Amino acid sequence: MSLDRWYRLLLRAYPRWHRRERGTELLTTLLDAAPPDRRRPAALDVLDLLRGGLRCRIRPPRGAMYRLVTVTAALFAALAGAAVAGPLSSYSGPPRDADAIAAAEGTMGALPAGAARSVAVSDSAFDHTDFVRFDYVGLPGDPGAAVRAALDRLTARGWRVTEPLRRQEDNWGPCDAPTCATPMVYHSFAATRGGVAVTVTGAAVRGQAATDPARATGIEPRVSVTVTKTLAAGAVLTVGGGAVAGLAVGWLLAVWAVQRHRRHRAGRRRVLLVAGVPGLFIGALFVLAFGNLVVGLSLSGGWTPKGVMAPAFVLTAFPTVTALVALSAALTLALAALPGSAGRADPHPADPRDTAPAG
Amino acid sequence: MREPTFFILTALVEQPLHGYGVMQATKELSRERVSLRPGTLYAALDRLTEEGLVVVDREEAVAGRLRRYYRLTDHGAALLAAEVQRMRETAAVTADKLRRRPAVRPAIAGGQ
Repeated sequence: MSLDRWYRLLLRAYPRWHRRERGTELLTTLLDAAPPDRRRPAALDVLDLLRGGLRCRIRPPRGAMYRLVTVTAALFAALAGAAVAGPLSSYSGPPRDADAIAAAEGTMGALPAGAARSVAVSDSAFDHTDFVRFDYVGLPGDPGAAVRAALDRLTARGWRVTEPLRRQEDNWGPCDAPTCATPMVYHSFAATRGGVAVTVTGAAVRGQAATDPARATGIEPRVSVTVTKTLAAGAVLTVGGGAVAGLAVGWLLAVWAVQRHRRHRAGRRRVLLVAGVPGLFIGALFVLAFGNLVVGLSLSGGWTPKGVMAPAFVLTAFPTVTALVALSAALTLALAALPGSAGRADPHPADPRDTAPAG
Repeated sequence: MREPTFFILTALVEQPLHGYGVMQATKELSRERVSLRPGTLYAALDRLTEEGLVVVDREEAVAGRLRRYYRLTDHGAALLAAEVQRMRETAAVTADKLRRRPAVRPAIAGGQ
Protein backbone atom coordinates (compact mmCIF):
# COMPACT_ATOMS: atom_id res chain seq x y z
CA MET A 1 0.00 0.00 0.00
CA SER A 2 1.33 3.43 -0.91
CA LEU A 3 2.08 6.11 1.65
CA ASP A 4 -0.79 8.13 0.25
CA ARG A 5 -3.20 5.25 0.92
CA TRP A 6 -1.83 4.74 4.42
CA TYR A 7 -2.46 8.36 5.27
CA ARG A 8 -5.96 8.28 3.80
CA LEU A 9 -6.67 5.26 5.98
CA LEU A 10 -5.36 7.01 9.09
CA LEU A 11 -7.42 10.11 8.32
CA ARG A 12 -10.50 7.98 8.93
CA ALA A 13 -9.76 8.63 12.61
CA TYR A 14 -11.18 12.11 12.04
CA PRO A 15 -14.94 12.75 11.87
CA ARG A 16 -16.38 13.03 8.42
CA TRP A 17 -17.15 16.74 8.65
CA HIS A 18 -13.50 17.38 9.48
CA ARG A 19 -12.21 15.20 6.64
CA ARG A 20 -14.54 17.00 4.29
CA GLU A 21 -13.15 20.39 5.28
CA ARG A 22 -9.53 19.53 6.01
CA GLY A 23 -8.86 16.02 4.64
CA THR A 24 -7.01 16.93 1.43
CA GLU A 25 -5.13 19.74 3.09
CA LEU A 26 -3.99 17.48 5.93
CA LEU A 27 -3.03 14.75 3.46
CA THR A 28 -1.02 17.27 1.43
CA THR A 29 0.85 18.43 4.52
CA LEU A 30 1.52 14.82 5.58
CA LEU A 31 2.96 14.01 2.15
CA ASP A 32 4.94 17.27 2.06
CA ALA A 33 6.47 16.46 5.44
CA ALA A 34 7.32 12.83 4.63
CA PRO A 35 10.87 12.01 3.50
CA PRO A 36 11.00 10.94 -0.19
CA ASP A 37 11.90 7.34 0.65
CA ARG A 38 9.12 6.81 3.20
CA ARG A 39 6.75 3.97 2.28
CA ARG A 40 4.77 3.68 5.50
CA PRO A 41 3.76 6.29 8.09
CA ALA A 42 6.13 6.83 11.00
CA ALA A 43 4.84 5.47 14.30
CA LEU A 44 4.75 8.97 15.77
CA ASP A 45 2.66 10.19 12.83
CA VAL A 46 0.21 7.32 13.38
CA LEU A 47 -0.14 8.24 17.05
CA ASP A 48 -0.40 11.92 16.19
CA LEU A 49 -3.21 11.34 13.70
CA LEU A 50 -5.11 8.97 15.97
CA ARG A 51 -4.82 11.44 18.82
CA GLY A 52 -5.82 14.32 16.56
CA GLY A 53 -8.85 12.42 15.32
CA LEU A 54 -9.94 11.50 18.82
CA ARG A 55 -9.48 15.06 20.04
CA CYS A 56 -11.52 16.31 17.12
CA ARG A 57 -14.34 13.92 17.99
CA ILE A 58 -14.45 14.72 21.70
CA ARG A 59 -13.67 18.42 21.83
CA PRO A 60 -16.75 20.63 21.72
CA PRO A 61 -16.45 23.82 19.70
CA ARG A 62 -15.32 27.00 21.35
CA GLY A 63 -18.09 28.81 23.22
CA ALA A 64 -19.70 28.44 26.63
CA MET A 65 -23.08 27.53 25.15
CA TYR A 66 -21.68 24.67 23.06
CA ARG A 67 -19.84 23.34 26.09
CA LEU A 68 -22.90 23.65 28.31
CA VAL A 69 -24.96 21.73 25.76
CA THR A 70 -22.31 19.02 25.51
CA VAL A 71 -21.95 18.59 29.27
CA THR A 72 -25.71 18.58 29.87
CA ALA A 73 -26.38 16.04 27.13
CA ALA A 74 -23.54 13.81 28.33
CA LEU A 75 -24.71 13.89 31.96
CA PHE A 76 -28.26 13.04 30.97
CA ALA A 77 -26.98 10.21 28.79
CA ALA A 78 -24.95 8.94 31.76
CA LEU A 79 -28.09 8.97 33.89
CA ALA A 80 -29.97 7.14 31.14
CA GLY A 81 -27.14 4.60 30.78
CA ALA A 82 -27.22 3.90 34.52
CA ALA A 83 -31.03 3.70 34.44
CA VAL A 84 -30.93 1.12 31.65
CA ALA A 85 -28.16 -0.88 33.31
CA GLY A 86 -29.89 -0.99 36.71
CA PRO A 87 -32.74 -3.31 35.70
CA LEU A 88 -30.25 -5.41 33.69
CA SER A 89 -28.00 -5.92 36.71
CA SER A 90 -28.10 -8.92 39.02
CA TYR A 91 -29.59 -6.73 41.75
CA SER A 92 -32.83 -6.21 39.87
CA GLY A 93 -35.81 -8.45 40.53
CA PRO A 94 -36.90 -10.40 43.61
CA PRO A 95 -34.84 -13.25 45.02
CA ARG A 96 -35.47 -16.68 43.56
CA ASP A 97 -38.48 -18.49 45.02
CA ALA A 98 -36.32 -21.30 46.38
CA ASP A 99 -33.97 -18.80 48.10
CA ALA A 100 -36.86 -16.80 49.55
CA ILE A 101 -38.71 -19.84 50.88
CA ALA A 102 -35.54 -21.33 52.33
CA ALA A 103 -34.68 -18.04 54.02
CA ALA A 104 -38.16 -17.68 55.56
CA GLU A 105 -38.25 -21.29 56.66
CA GLY A 106 -34.76 -20.99 58.16
CA THR A 107 -35.75 -17.82 59.95
CA MET A 108 -38.99 -18.98 61.51
CA GLY A 109 -38.47 -22.74 61.56
CA ALA A 110 -41.49 -23.26 59.31
CA LEU A 111 -43.35 -21.72 56.43
CA PRO A 112 -46.36 -19.56 57.33
CA ALA A 113 -49.71 -21.24 57.49
CA GLY A 114 -51.80 -20.51 54.42
CA ALA A 115 -48.70 -19.50 52.54
CA ALA A 116 -50.61 -18.67 49.40
CA ARG A 117 -52.34 -15.77 51.14
CA SER A 118 -49.40 -14.66 53.16
CA VAL A 119 -46.64 -14.30 50.57
CA ALA A 120 -46.24 -10.99 48.77
CA VAL A 121 -43.83 -9.88 46.06
CA SER A 122 -43.41 -6.17 45.74
CA ASP A 123 -40.93 -3.46 44.96
CA SER A 124 -39.94 -0.22 46.54
CA ALA A 125 -41.00 2.84 44.57
CA PHE A 126 -37.74 4.57 45.42
CA ASP A 127 -35.06 2.05 44.68
CA HIS A 128 -37.04 -0.62 42.82
CA THR A 129 -35.80 -3.17 45.33
CA ASP A 130 -37.95 -6.20 44.68
CA PHE A 131 -38.65 -8.29 47.74
CA VAL A 132 -40.68 -11.27 48.88
CA ARG A 133 -42.51 -10.95 52.18
CA PHE A 134 -43.86 -13.78 54.32
CA ASP A 135 -46.38 -12.83 57.00
CA TYR A 136 -46.71 -15.16 59.95
CA VAL A 137 -50.00 -14.60 61.82
CA GLY A 138 -51.68 -16.54 64.59
CA LEU A 139 -48.35 -17.34 66.24
CA PRO A 140 -48.52 -18.64 69.79
CA GLY A 141 -47.12 -16.14 72.26
CA ASP A 142 -45.55 -12.71 71.85
CA PRO A 143 -44.21 -11.70 68.39
CA GLY A 144 -41.21 -10.11 70.14
CA ALA A 145 -40.23 -13.51 71.52
CA ALA A 146 -40.62 -15.05 68.06
CA VAL A 147 -38.30 -12.40 66.60
CA ARG A 148 -35.67 -13.04 69.27
CA ALA A 149 -35.92 -16.77 68.57
CA ALA A 150 -35.49 -16.08 64.85
CA LEU A 151 -32.36 -14.06 65.56
CA ASP A 152 -30.89 -16.92 67.61
CA ARG A 153 -31.84 -19.40 64.90
CA LEU A 154 -30.17 -17.41 62.08
CA THR A 155 -27.07 -16.60 64.12
CA ALA A 156 -26.62 -20.27 64.89
CA ARG A 157 -26.82 -21.02 61.16
CA GLY A 158 -24.07 -18.59 60.30
CA TRP A 159 -26.08 -15.58 59.16
CA ARG A 160 -24.43 -12.21 59.69
CA VAL A 161 -26.55 -9.69 61.58
CA THR A 162 -26.49 -6.37 59.72
CA GLU A 163 -29.00 -4.53 61.90
CA PRO A 164 -29.16 -5.59 65.57
CA LEU A 165 -32.40 -6.40 67.32
CA ARG A 166 -34.28 -3.30 68.37
CA ARG A 167 -37.60 -2.49 69.99
CA GLN A 168 -39.67 0.42 68.81
CA GLU A 169 -43.02 1.79 69.91
CA ASP A 170 -45.36 3.55 67.57
CA ASN A 171 -48.99 4.22 66.96
CA TRP A 172 -51.03 2.63 64.27
CA GLY A 173 -54.19 4.32 63.16
CA PRO A 174 -55.70 7.32 61.49
CA CYS A 175 -54.19 9.85 63.90
CA ASP A 176 -51.78 10.17 66.79
CA ALA A 177 -54.42 10.98 69.39
CA PRO A 178 -54.76 8.26 72.05
CA THR A 179 -58.45 7.94 71.32
CA CYS A 180 -58.07 7.04 67.68
CA ALA A 181 -54.61 5.44 67.41
CA THR A 182 -53.65 1.94 68.43
CA PRO A 183 -50.34 1.75 70.31
CA MET A 184 -48.03 -0.82 68.71
CA VAL A 185 -44.70 -2.37 69.59
CA TYR A 186 -42.27 -3.59 66.95
CA HIS A 187 -39.21 -5.84 67.25
CA SER A 188 -36.91 -6.08 64.27
CA PHE A 189 -33.47 -7.06 63.01
CA ALA A 190 -31.80 -7.75 59.67
CA ALA A 191 -29.32 -10.43 58.64
CA THR A 192 -27.63 -11.65 55.49
CA ARG A 193 -25.99 -14.77 54.13
CA GLY A 194 -25.02 -15.99 50.67
CA GLY A 195 -26.45 -13.11 48.66
CA VAL A 196 -29.81 -13.13 50.48
CA ALA A 197 -30.89 -10.61 53.11
CA VAL A 198 -33.81 -10.94 55.53
CA THR A 199 -35.48 -8.30 57.64
CA VAL A 200 -37.60 -9.74 60.43
CA THR A 201 -40.25 -7.58 62.07
CA GLY A 202 -42.66 -8.59 64.82
CA ALA A 203 -45.64 -6.32 65.47
CA ALA A 204 -48.26 -6.41 68.22
CA VAL A 205 -50.69 -4.10 69.97
CA ARG A 206 -49.13 -3.03 73.23
CA GLY A 207 -50.44 -2.33 76.70
CA GLN A 208 -54.08 -2.36 77.69
CA ALA A 209 -55.12 -1.66 74.11
CA ALA A 210 -54.28 -5.29 73.31
CA THR A 211 -57.31 -6.38 75.28
CA ASP A 212 -59.56 -3.54 74.09
CA PRO A 213 -61.78 -4.97 71.33
CA ALA A 214 -62.61 -1.48 70.11
CA ARG A 215 -58.98 -0.70 69.28
CA ALA A 216 -57.22 -3.98 68.64
CA THR A 217 -59.81 -5.75 66.53
CA GLY A 218 -58.39 -6.65 63.15
CA ILE A 219 -54.79 -6.04 64.22
CA GLU A 220 -53.35 -9.48 64.67
CA PRO A 221 -49.92 -9.99 66.18
CA ARG A 222 -47.63 -10.99 63.36
CA VAL A 223 -44.04 -11.55 62.28
CA SER A 224 -43.04 -10.49 58.77
CA VAL A 225 -39.97 -11.92 57.07
CA THR A 226 -38.89 -9.79 54.13
CA VAL A 227 -36.38 -11.40 51.79
CA THR A 228 -34.28 -9.42 49.30
CA LYS A 229 -31.12 -9.97 47.32
CA THR A 230 -27.96 -8.35 48.60
CA LEU A 231 -26.10 -5.97 46.36
CA ALA A 232 -23.24 -7.69 44.55
CA ALA A 233 -20.17 -5.89 43.25
CA GLY A 234 -21.19 -7.01 39.76
CA ALA A 235 -24.38 -4.95 39.96
CA VAL A 236 -22.45 -1.82 40.93
CA LEU A 237 -20.03 -2.44 38.07
CA THR A 238 -22.91 -2.97 35.63
CA VAL A 239 -24.61 0.28 36.63
CA GLY A 240 -21.30 2.17 36.73
CA GLY A 241 -20.42 0.77 33.33
CA GLY A 242 -23.82 1.86 32.01
CA ALA A 243 -23.21 5.37 33.31
CA VAL A 244 -19.74 5.57 31.77
CA ALA A 245 -20.96 4.19 28.45
CA GLY A 246 -23.87 6.63 28.47
CA LEU A 247 -21.54 9.51 29.26
CA ALA A 248 -19.19 8.58 26.42
CA VAL A 249 -21.95 8.07 23.84
CA GLY A 250 -23.79 11.21 24.96
CA TRP A 251 -20.62 13.29 24.78
CA LEU A 252 -19.69 12.05 21.30
CA LEU A 253 -23.20 12.56 19.96
CA ALA A 254 -23.44 16.01 21.51
CA VAL A 255 -20.11 17.12 20.01
CA TRP A 256 -21.16 15.73 16.66
CA ALA A 257 -24.53 17.52 16.84
CA VAL A 258 -23.09 20.90 17.82
CA GLN A 259 -20.44 20.62 15.12
CA ARG A 260 -23.21 19.90 12.64
CA HIS A 261 -25.24 22.78 14.08
CA ARG A 262 -22.39 25.20 13.40
CA ARG A 263 -22.21 24.05 9.81
CA HIS A 264 -25.89 24.45 9.01
CA ARG A 265 -27.35 27.66 7.70
CA ALA A 266 -29.22 30.03 10.01
CA GLY A 267 -32.71 28.64 9.31
CA ARG A 268 -31.72 25.05 10.03
CA ARG A 269 -29.87 26.14 13.14
CA ARG A 270 -33.06 27.74 14.48
CA VAL A 271 -35.05 24.56 13.80
CA LEU A 272 -32.38 22.54 15.60
CA LEU A 273 -32.65 24.83 18.60
CA VAL A 274 -36.43 24.50 18.71
CA ALA A 275 -36.11 20.70 18.59
CA GLY A 276 -33.23 20.35 21.03
CA VAL A 277 -33.61 23.02 23.70
CA PRO A 278 -36.74 21.56 25.38
CA GLY A 279 -35.09 18.15 25.69
CA LEU A 280 -31.89 19.69 27.02
CA PHE A 281 -33.77 21.79 29.53
CA ILE A 282 -35.81 18.88 30.87
CA GLY A 283 -32.75 16.64 30.74
CA ALA A 284 -30.88 19.17 32.86
CA LEU A 285 -33.74 19.10 35.37
CA PHE A 286 -33.51 15.30 35.56
CA VAL A 287 -29.76 15.54 36.15
CA LEU A 288 -30.27 18.18 38.84
CA ALA A 289 -33.03 16.10 40.48
CA PHE A 290 -30.76 13.07 40.58
CA GLY A 291 -27.84 15.13 41.90
CA ASN A 292 -30.09 16.59 44.56
CA LEU A 293 -31.24 13.10 45.54
CA VAL A 294 -27.67 11.81 45.79
CA VAL A 295 -26.42 14.80 47.77
CA GLY A 296 -29.47 14.85 50.06
CA LEU A 297 -29.25 11.16 50.86
CA SER A 298 -25.48 11.32 51.30
CA LEU A 299 -25.72 14.20 53.76
CA SER A 300 -28.53 12.57 55.71
CA GLY A 301 -26.76 9.23 55.85
CA GLY A 302 -29.68 7.56 54.14
CA TRP A 303 -27.79 6.59 51.01
CA THR A 304 -27.38 2.84 50.62
CA PRO A 305 -25.89 0.73 47.87
CA LYS A 306 -29.46 0.13 46.75
CA GLY A 307 -29.01 3.52 45.12
CA VAL A 308 -27.79 1.71 42.03
CA MET A 309 -31.48 1.61 41.10
CA ALA A 310 -32.01 5.31 41.80
CA PRO A 311 -31.28 6.42 38.19
CA ALA A 312 -34.01 4.06 36.98
CA PHE A 313 -36.33 5.47 39.61
CA VAL A 314 -35.66 9.08 38.56
CA LEU A 315 -36.21 8.39 34.87
CA THR A 316 -39.29 6.21 35.34
CA ALA A 317 -40.98 8.49 37.88
CA PHE A 318 -42.35 10.60 35.02
CA PRO A 319 -42.23 8.32 31.97
CA THR A 320 -43.98 10.76 29.64
CA VAL A 321 -41.47 13.48 30.41
CA THR A 322 -38.58 11.06 29.90
CA ALA A 323 -40.09 10.04 26.57
CA LEU A 324 -40.28 13.71 25.56
CA VAL A 325 -36.56 14.13 26.25
CA ALA A 326 -35.78 11.05 24.17
CA LEU A 327 -38.01 12.32 21.36
CA SER A 328 -36.35 15.74 21.44
CA ALA A 329 -32.88 14.15 21.30
CA ALA A 330 -33.82 11.84 18.43
CA LEU A 331 -35.40 14.67 16.45
CA THR A 332 -32.38 16.92 17.02
CA LEU A 333 -29.93 14.26 15.88
CA ALA A 334 -32.04 13.48 12.83
CA LEU A 335 -32.25 17.16 11.87
CA ALA A 336 -28.52 17.65 12.48
CA ALA A 337 -27.76 14.77 10.13
CA LEU A 338 -29.73 16.29 7.25
CA PRO A 339 -27.63 17.51 4.31
CA GLY A 340 -26.87 21.17 3.87
CA SER A 341 -23.58 22.50 5.15
CA ALA A 342 -22.17 25.98 5.33
CA GLY A 343 -18.66 24.67 6.08
CA ARG A 344 -15.58 25.17 3.91
CA ALA A 345 -15.26 21.99 1.85
CA ASP A 346 -12.12 20.74 0.19
CA PRO A 347 -12.30 21.22 -3.58
CA HIS A 348 -10.60 17.83 -3.95
CA PRO A 349 -11.59 15.70 -0.97
CA ALA A 350 -9.11 13.05 0.15
CA ASP A 351 -11.92 10.52 0.24
CA PRO A 352 -14.72 10.93 -2.33
CA ARG A 353 -17.22 9.62 0.23
CA ASP A 354 -16.50 12.73 2.30
CA THR A 355 -18.06 15.00 -0.31
CA ALA A 356 -21.51 14.06 0.98
CA PRO A 357 -22.38 16.76 3.48
CA ALA A 358 -24.23 14.41 5.80
CA GLY A 359 -21.27 13.48 7.99
CA MET B 1 0.17 30.91 25.79
CA ARG B 2 1.79 27.52 25.15
CA GLU B 3 5.06 27.38 23.30
CA PRO B 4 3.77 25.67 20.10
CA THR B 5 1.02 28.27 19.80
CA PHE B 6 3.55 31.05 20.32
CA PHE B 7 5.76 29.75 17.53
CA ILE B 8 2.87 29.10 15.15
CA LEU B 9 1.73 32.71 15.53
CA THR B 10 5.31 33.92 15.24
CA ALA B 11 5.77 31.92 12.03
CA LEU B 12 2.84 33.79 10.48
CA VAL B 13 3.96 37.29 11.44
CA GLU B 14 5.77 38.13 8.21
CA GLN B 15 3.78 36.24 5.61
CA PRO B 16 0.98 33.72 5.17
CA LEU B 17 2.18 30.10 5.22
CA HIS B 18 0.61 26.74 4.41
CA GLY B 19 0.63 23.84 6.88
CA TYR B 20 4.01 22.39 5.95
CA GLY B 21 5.48 25.90 5.85
CA VAL B 22 4.25 26.48 9.41
CA MET B 23 5.80 23.18 10.51
CA GLN B 24 9.17 24.13 9.04
CA ALA B 25 9.06 27.68 10.39
CA THR B 26 8.21 26.65 13.95
CA LYS B 27 11.04 24.13 13.92
CA GLU B 28 13.48 26.76 12.70
CA LEU B 29 12.27 29.54 15.00
CA SER B 30 12.43 27.29 18.05
CA ARG B 31 15.87 25.98 17.07
CA GLU B 32 14.32 22.54 16.63
CA ARG B 33 12.85 22.45 20.15
CA VAL B 34 9.29 22.52 18.81
CA SER B 35 8.67 19.96 16.10
CA LEU B 36 4.97 19.88 15.24
CA ARG B 37 3.36 16.91 13.55
CA PRO B 38 0.46 17.46 11.16
CA GLY B 39 -2.26 16.19 13.53
CA THR B 40 -1.07 18.48 16.30
CA LEU B 41 -0.57 21.40 13.92
CA TYR B 42 -4.09 21.22 12.49
CA ALA B 43 -5.65 20.85 15.94
CA ALA B 44 -3.84 24.08 16.85
CA LEU B 45 -4.85 25.79 13.60
CA ASP B 46 -8.50 24.76 14.18
CA ARG B 47 -8.38 26.31 17.62
CA LEU B 48 -6.57 29.46 16.51
CA THR B 49 -9.03 29.91 13.65
CA GLU B 50 -11.97 29.54 16.05
CA GLU B 51 -10.40 32.13 18.31
CA GLY B 52 -9.92 34.52 15.39
CA LEU B 53 -6.14 34.65 15.74
CA VAL B 54 -5.48 33.30 12.25
CA VAL B 55 -7.56 33.12 9.06
CA VAL B 56 -7.26 31.34 5.74
CA ASP B 57 -5.54 33.76 3.36
CA ARG B 58 -5.80 31.77 0.13
CA GLU B 59 -5.89 28.26 -1.27
CA GLU B 60 -3.80 26.53 -3.91
CA ALA B 61 -5.21 23.32 -5.36
CA VAL B 62 -2.87 21.56 -7.78
CA ALA B 63 -2.97 17.94 -8.96
CA GLY B 64 -5.16 16.69 -6.14
CA ARG B 65 -3.13 18.52 -3.51
CA LEU B 66 -4.54 21.38 -1.47
CA ARG B 67 -2.47 23.98 0.32
CA ARG B 68 -4.24 26.55 2.45
CA TYR B 69 -2.24 29.56 3.49
CA TYR B 70 -2.91 30.96 6.93
CA ARG B 71 -2.51 34.60 7.87
CA LEU B 72 -2.14 36.21 11.28
CA THR B 73 -5.07 38.52 12.07
CA ASP B 74 -4.70 41.89 13.76
CA HIS B 75 -6.21 40.30 16.85
CA GLY B 76 -3.62 37.52 16.65
CA ALA B 77 -0.80 40.03 16.21
CA ALA B 78 -2.00 42.04 19.20
CA LEU B 79 -2.21 38.92 21.35
CA LEU B 80 1.26 37.85 20.25
CA ALA B 81 2.65 41.32 21.04
CA ALA B 82 1.07 41.18 24.48
CA GLU B 83 2.59 37.75 25.03
CA VAL B 84 6.03 39.02 23.97
CA GLN B 85 5.68 41.90 26.41
CA ARG B 86 4.65 39.54 29.19
CA MET B 87 7.57 37.23 28.47
CA ARG B 88 9.96 40.20 28.34
CA GLU B 89 8.74 41.43 31.74
CA THR B 90 8.92 37.95 33.22
CA ALA B 91 12.42 37.44 31.84
CA ALA B 92 13.49 40.85 33.17
CA VAL B 93 12.28 40.00 36.67
CA THR B 94 14.10 36.67 36.59
CA ALA B 95 17.27 38.17 35.15
CA ASP B 96 17.22 40.86 37.81
CA LYS B 97 16.92 38.22 40.52
CA LEU B 98 19.78 36.23 39.03
CA ARG B 99 22.00 39.30 38.82
CA ARG B 100 21.70 39.63 42.59
CA ARG B 101 23.05 36.13 43.01
CA PRO B 102 26.86 36.40 43.10
CA ALA B 103 27.64 32.95 41.77
CA VAL B 104 25.60 33.49 38.61
CA ARG B 105 26.45 37.16 37.98
CA PRO B 106 29.31 36.54 35.52
CA ALA B 107 27.12 34.35 33.27
CA ILE B 108 24.22 36.83 33.19
CA ALA B 109 26.58 39.72 32.72
CA GLY B 110 28.11 38.06 29.71
CA GLY B 111 31.10 36.53 31.46
CA GLN B 112 32.50 39.79 32.77
